[in-house]
Amino acid sequence: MQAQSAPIVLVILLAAVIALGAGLMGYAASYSSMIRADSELRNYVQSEAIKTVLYYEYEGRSDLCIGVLRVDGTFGRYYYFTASRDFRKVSSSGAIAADPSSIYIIVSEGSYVPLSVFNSQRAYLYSIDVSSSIPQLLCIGKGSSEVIVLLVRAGQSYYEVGRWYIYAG
Amino acid sequence: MQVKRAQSEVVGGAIAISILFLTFMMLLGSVFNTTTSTSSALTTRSKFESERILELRSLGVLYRNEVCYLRNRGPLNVTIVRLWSRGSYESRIIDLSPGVDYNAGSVSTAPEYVVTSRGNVIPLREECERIKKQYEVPQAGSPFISDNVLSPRRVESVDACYIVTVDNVVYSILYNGSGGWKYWPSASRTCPQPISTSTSLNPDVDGNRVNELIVYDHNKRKAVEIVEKEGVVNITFLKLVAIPSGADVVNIYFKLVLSISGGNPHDVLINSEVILTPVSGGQQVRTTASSARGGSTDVLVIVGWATFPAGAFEKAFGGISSGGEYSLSIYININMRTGGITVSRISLEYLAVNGATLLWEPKPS
Repeated sequence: MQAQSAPIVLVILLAAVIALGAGLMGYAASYSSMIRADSELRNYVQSEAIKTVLYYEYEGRSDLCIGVLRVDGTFGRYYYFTASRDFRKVSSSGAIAADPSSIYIIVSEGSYVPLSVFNSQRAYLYSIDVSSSIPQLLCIGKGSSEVIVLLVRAGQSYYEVGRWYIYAG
Repeated sequence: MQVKRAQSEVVGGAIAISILFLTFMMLLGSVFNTTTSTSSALTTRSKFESERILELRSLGVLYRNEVCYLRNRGPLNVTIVRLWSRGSYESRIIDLSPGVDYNAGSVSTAPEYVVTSRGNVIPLREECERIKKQYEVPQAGSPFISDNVLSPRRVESVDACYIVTVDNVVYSILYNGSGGWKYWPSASRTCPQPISTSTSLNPDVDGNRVNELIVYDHNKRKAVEIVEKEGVVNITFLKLVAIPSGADVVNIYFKLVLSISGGNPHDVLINSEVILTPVSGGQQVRTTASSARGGSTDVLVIVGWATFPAGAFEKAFGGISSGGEYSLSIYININMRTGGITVSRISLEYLAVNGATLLWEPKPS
């Protein structure tokens, strides 16, 4: 009797281990996928920010021209909007309307927060393509805007990859 | 079927370890993928920034034969992508291999800014203008560099104080200012006030409507003369200037008008110097004044300008550049080389100082 029960116990134990293992792997795969998606997004935005160079090119009496280039010379589509320094006032002109909760800007701590934290109004974005090793020029009127924010699109959201402050005078 | 003791534990353990290992690898793979992609972008950016800095350091502006050049002195290929002039730009692709120059034309037509593919912006015209100025010889004319010290309101300043000697004999200064002719006896222990006189001379010998300061002999009621010999004139403006601390250069400009007669053609040699003497005592500094002559038949006009490199004096001798109040003297040596010549009048029309502050406050109008 004792000799017969051992294989049954073995099968049951193995089945239990396999079932628990499959569950753990499934959970790990799901968790890993979640982490991967989050890290891929962060990785994409970080890589875009690293690849993007903004530089001061020209300043006239009423306009300011910023150069935008990509260090690897690949194609990149950027979006930008202008705003007041505290982001409470965002430019209402632009070709693309975007919900402020879908636009993420970098705050002083270095983390991304939605623009809706500062402003509930819709933001209007312009797009700009940088397609070759020639820096693209981004000229804006100095007017009342105090900061220009450059974004990349990831899914339905926009993430800041560069910023330039505009000084009057 | 015979199951050996502990066989199930071994099999179960192996399966459990395999599952844990696979799970760990799955998580590690995600993390590793993220790190690798970011590191790759950082490496690219780092390389780009190195090249960008090297490019900026390599591009040099040259100015040769009135043409402005941008030279690629570095090992990298440089591509110019935009040229800015007067608020607008022109997109142009100009490749500059190592050692190759971009000819930008003359300074007036050179682009204001040149933009490279690495985002460097070179202020080409500004650099050219700066280099061009280094080549320019200062204009050998008469620089009008400050107010005329000898304007009526300064000549009659309450601070005005003169010492005038000709061949070490003390004389006065005569001037036709507000309220008519006055003369200032030379200062000795104190600065005398001007005294009105009935003496009336031509106030403006060279006829340019600027009254002159005349070296005057009050005993004879006439202008001091130098007859057929060498004469040394020394006009000192006591406590005239304050040289600020750390001054680099002090420039002095003057215009002397002499009436001259006899011995045509007038063969007269004039040497002039400007001397700065500290009011508080100490080392006097003097420099030869460059001069140019002009005038008409009987009027000899001598303009002179002297440069005191105060900073250099300071390094060599100490004193002048540390600032302070100074008296200014104009020393003139007049040598009549042929006989029969008379200098019948010595007058000073213009005196300007640049690089120092005038201490003689203008007389209130």
